[in-house]
Amino acid sequence: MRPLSSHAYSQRRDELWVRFDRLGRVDLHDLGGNRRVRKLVIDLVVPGQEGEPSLADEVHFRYQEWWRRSSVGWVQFRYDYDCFDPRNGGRRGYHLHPLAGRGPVPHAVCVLPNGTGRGRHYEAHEVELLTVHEEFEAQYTAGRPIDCRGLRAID
Amino acid sequence: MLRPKLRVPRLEITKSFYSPHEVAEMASLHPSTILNYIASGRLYAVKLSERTYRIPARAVIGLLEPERLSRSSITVEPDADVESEVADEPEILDEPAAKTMYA
Repeated sequence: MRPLSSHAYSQRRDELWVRFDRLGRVDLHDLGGNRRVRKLVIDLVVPGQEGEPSLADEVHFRYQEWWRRSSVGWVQFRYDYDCFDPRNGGRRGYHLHPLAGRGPVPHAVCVLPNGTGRGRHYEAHEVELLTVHEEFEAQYTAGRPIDCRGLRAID
Repeated sequence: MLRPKLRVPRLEITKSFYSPHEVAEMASLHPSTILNYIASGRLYAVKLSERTYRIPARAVIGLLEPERLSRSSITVEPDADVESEVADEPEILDEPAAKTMYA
């Protein structure tokens, strides 16, 4: 992810909100814009219709990013992009943060509904939020359950 | 003279996704109109394959009963302190070459 000016950061934030609002109910928090570290938290619940039991929530996407102020603008240095299945349990995600005494390591997380995989980390490249969201959205729309096949553990 | 308000039956939405044909039926429109809405971006749909779209319930409600939608929100708190959450993170050193990388 390239560094972003404050204007570009706000523009991206607003575009993400519009993009996700088409799929479900979005609660977006932009925290710390006047400080050295800024955090973007996006909770997208689908379908997200409150008070409609016939349309119970099926998936919760939680996207968090941390950015640091620098002379080149806002630089992203950490993310947690997660997709939760609130009905059956289970979680799929891509993270970038320090692991076990090492520096920031991009990795995947995957927890099956029965809890298998909890606390494990899997190989992954650095990813961009919209690319991840498109993968999660396609998986959810196609009705495919959370699946950890093909992932290689790194610890 | 005041006329009594007509009571429009509430749209029955029980599925998370609908096909363009189903939405066309609900909206009393031709399926090609729904496909045009999708192509123009007026109606959001997830493309499953070259010819298969699924329209999320939220997009259907937004098209047919927008006042019924649960509202999304944006909260901006510029003075919030989130630095303590990432105290273990190393500082990123500025690289002069990166100055041309503004978006």
